[in-house]
Amino acid sequence: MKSLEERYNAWIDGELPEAEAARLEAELGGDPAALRAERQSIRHLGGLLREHLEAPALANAGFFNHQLMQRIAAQTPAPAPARPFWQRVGWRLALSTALGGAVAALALVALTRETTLPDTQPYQAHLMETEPGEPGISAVAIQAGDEKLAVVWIDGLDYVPADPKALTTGKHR
Amino acid sequence: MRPSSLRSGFPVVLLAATLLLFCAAPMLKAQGEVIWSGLVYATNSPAPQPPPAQLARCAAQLTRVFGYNQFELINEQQRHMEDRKERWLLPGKEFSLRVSGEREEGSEYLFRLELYRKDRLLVRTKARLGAESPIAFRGPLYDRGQLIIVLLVK
Repeated sequence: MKSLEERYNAWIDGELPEAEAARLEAELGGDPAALRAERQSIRHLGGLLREHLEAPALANAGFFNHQLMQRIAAQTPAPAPARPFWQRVGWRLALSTALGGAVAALALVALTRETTLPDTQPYQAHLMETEPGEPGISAVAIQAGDEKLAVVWIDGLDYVPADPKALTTGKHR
Repeated sequence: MRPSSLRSGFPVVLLAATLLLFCAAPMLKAQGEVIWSGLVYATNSPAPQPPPAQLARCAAQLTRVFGYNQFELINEQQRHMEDRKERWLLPGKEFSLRVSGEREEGSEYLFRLELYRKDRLLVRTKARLGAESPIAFRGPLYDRGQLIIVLLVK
């Protein structure tokens, strides 16, 4: 069964049999005279369109298409060339990353430079100047041969009687 | 301040932090250095006791130099070192040691040392010390042995 739209178009074009046309007009309702006037108006409009709005034929369609494509190409902005990574992420981010790496590297150098010496360093204490504080006392600096020990050899000191308390108690000078 | 200004200033701040960290690292390390001093009573014993842990590394050296086989630690003290700042070590009625250190290359220190007995200056010396490289002062005879003052950088 044809749809209402198909039957309506056929009715407008006068292609619908009389019995079906009468049934359609009954379905559409309203004044039959008004319906026929509407159908006539639509047919007249169609005739005018077919008569006056026909597209002019192009004398040189190929040339027209070529010109059109050229103008479209001229008005379309060219795509931006692919930028390198550091330009895409921004120079600030790239610089910050580089400086962050520099911070880590320098901190590592500074800390390792200061922490890798002690036990493996074959360094011997060295006495540079030694002098007694008062007459009657002698003080000699001795570098103890192969020992990693420097000795200040003091002579002329008074004997100290056993008194551990005297050696462990007291205040800073 | 606009966000863009913040972003543009960030690398400068980061660079300043880098330089600060690089310069501060030796100072941080220097503050971690400790100078240790001990007043040692050295004797000869037929059954010598093992040396205290603080002297374990240098006990053999002390034996070879001073001729004693037993070492007792009577008093000890340690201080964090700071450049050119004087420290008093071994506070006691009898002996005190005044130390001022100046950090040199690596972990070496140049020390100025003054050993006092009560108020009397016994000896003044200038010495360069490295880590675990001790200096020993031969002190007076004491009881049945001798006093030795040991100084080292830990």
